[in-house]
Amino acid sequence: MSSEAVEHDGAGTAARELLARDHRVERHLIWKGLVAAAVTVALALARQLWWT
Amino acid sequence: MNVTLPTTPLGWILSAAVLVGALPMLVSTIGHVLASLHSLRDHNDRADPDHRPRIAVLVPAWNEAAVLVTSIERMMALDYPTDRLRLFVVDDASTDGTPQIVQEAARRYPGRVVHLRRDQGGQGKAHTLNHGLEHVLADDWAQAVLITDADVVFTPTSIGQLSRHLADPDVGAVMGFIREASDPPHWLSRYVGYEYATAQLSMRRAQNVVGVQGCLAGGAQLLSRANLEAIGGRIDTATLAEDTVTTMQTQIHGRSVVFDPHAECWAEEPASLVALWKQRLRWARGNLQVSKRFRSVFFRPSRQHHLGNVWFGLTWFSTLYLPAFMIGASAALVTLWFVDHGPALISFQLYWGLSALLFVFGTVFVLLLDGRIARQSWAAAVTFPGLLNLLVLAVVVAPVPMDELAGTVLPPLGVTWDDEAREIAVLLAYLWTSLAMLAGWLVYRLDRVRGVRKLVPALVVLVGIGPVLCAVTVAAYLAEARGAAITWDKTEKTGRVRTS
Repeated sequence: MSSEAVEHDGAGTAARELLARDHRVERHLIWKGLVAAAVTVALALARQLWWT
Repeated sequence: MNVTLPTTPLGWILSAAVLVGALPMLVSTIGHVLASLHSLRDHNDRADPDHRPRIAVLVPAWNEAAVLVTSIERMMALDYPTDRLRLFVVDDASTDGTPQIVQEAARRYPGRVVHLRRDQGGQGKAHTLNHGLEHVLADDWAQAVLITDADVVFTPTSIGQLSRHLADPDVGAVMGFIREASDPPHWLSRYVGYEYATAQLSMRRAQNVVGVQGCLAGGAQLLSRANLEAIGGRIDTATLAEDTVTTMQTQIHGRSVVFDPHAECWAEEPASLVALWKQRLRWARGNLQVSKRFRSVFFRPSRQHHLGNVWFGLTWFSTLYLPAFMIGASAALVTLWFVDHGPALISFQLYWGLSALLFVFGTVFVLLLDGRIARQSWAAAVTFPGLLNLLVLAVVVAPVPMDELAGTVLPPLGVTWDDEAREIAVLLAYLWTSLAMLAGWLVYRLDRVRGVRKLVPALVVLVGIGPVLCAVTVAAYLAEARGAAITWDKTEKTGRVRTS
């Protein structure tokens, strides 16, 4: 394999890993949405139970 | 306090008008929920990580000597094949050191940096870009065109992260995330940084999910050559929102627009409220012009595009008419206070209670999206609506503790906290939704007065940057109504941008 091909192959691997990493981050967003929803529900419950 | 349902048709209508005021918040919250589902529709499954088209980078430059050196050097150091990236700086008849800087860069990077010069400048970004496009599209070298600004600094992998989506021929344009990166960060940049996280990292993900984008990022948009040629090979010069027109045209011609939140670049944003007002007034006027021009695409299904999507249309118009929603809710509450007192209170509690919960959900979600923005801008996120609005939210969310607090704090200050004082406070809260915008405008005016300018950051915390931005939208309505000239106002930049 020529050095240019090795370099290209290395760049290609890095690009594929980057895409996989980026997609992984997107999959975690649902948990962030659930955390935000949990905080909101907790606030609503606190209001109903203690603050009114 | 006793609450009752409306007793008259007018009471019901006004109560409904109050609740309609919460629509923008509700639509925005649906956006956050959609964003959390982004992995289902993020276009990564149709992206090819090895796709590396030949890219012509177009940088319009009108007296940009302060920022060009950094952005050119960073562009030359990108992690992208050097034989597949050419930088065309379109010098808009600059009178500072811009031509010398670009010519020096062209000597250092022969064939990779090209200096194009217009003899007459100052017509605006779109005209400058068109000069560059004429040159770039004259031969068949460029397979894609990256449109950016002179001050934008791209992260090393960002161009590859954008270009991978163009492997899908259905994609006409891709945009990246522009991170606010003023160095050092200042009070206003923290607000803008958080606002960008909301508008880009959350809302543009949501728009990916429904398959339609409202506006390409002006400083980080990669367009396929096929798309550029399909929309006429030129950038619109008739409005103040040329990026939005490109976005609409791309989708109307049947190609999709994709947002990649990981293709990141850094930019400096206005450092004063006056500069921010000028920039946002241009954007808001542009959006009004675009709404008028493309009014036939909203809420109408099409086989070609998804611009008729209901959530997208609601998002578009609730942003555009946000001041009208706020004034409408406020006016309805005040009218109810006089004509149907009990329902006014329950409508107020529902409106503000819902707003409080949606505010908490949106703020927590957006801060979780980006750790760096959360660390830098959490206080800006919390105070985005202003301390006075937060006080109203706190009263609605925790009425009993807040009433006790008022009963403890106010009497030593000489204020009697009785039922009459409570009624006055409630009426002020009803009015505040509208008055906040007026207060925002006054703070902007104060930023123009030497001597009191130092008070502006504290006043913005009190009034909120949200109401200030709403006031900008009102100013845009007025400018459009009186047919103010469409002139390009450049946002001044210093070139001090964090690059790591």
